[in-house]
Amino acid sequence: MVYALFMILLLLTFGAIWRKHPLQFPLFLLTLAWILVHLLRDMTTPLTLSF
Amino acid sequence: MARLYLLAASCNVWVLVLILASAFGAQLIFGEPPCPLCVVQRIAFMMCALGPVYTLVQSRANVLSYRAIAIGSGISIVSALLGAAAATRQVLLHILPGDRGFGSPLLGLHLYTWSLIAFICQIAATGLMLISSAWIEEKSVPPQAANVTVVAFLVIVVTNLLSVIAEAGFNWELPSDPVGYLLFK
Repeated sequence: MVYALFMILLLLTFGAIWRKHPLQFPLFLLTLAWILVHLLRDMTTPLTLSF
Repeated sequence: MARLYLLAASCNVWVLVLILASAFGAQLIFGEPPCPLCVVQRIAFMMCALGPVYTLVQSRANVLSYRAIAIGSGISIVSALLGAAAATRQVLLHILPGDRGFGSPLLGLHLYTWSLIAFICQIAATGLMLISSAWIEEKSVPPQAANVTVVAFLVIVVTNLLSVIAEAGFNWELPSDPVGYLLFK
């Protein structure tokens, strides 16, 4: 479900961009940061996303 | 020149949509659901596409501004770096001699290796497009057919969203070596 949430956040970011809403950049940065944390957790723990 | 830039931005989105569509096709044809790192790379491709989509959406007001170009390029480059990190991680996981890698190879390379190459190309292409803004004047541009490009982007995102929901079912994480769609089990 976490990956579905990433994509939903991405769609929300797109919606904000389309409507030129002020949340467009915070939403993008939130998505980016969350995925980065997710990836870093994988890189620093024994093979959780191992494939 | 502004028209040419918007055409290049549209082409960039279409290339990324085609990459995602090919990965989705391989998933269906070979019956190989994507692993968690593969999904992260797909999301990074979608985020890369968000950059040129941003520029296209901003130019709906018929003016292509340097601000829109800069922000769109920034979104694209940062996302490509994220995707390259995920792809490098996966390449390194399978770099040992004797490791057969994950999934079926395509033209001798696995999809995650192609993915790393694609992210590097995306960064290079975005850099070149940024340089090309030296010849752009901030003036009115004729309306572009950006809507078709944006719809294609949305279709590929929603398709991947449905696919990952089917694959993960009601689990928070995907299995590291997925073999089927947990929602239907």
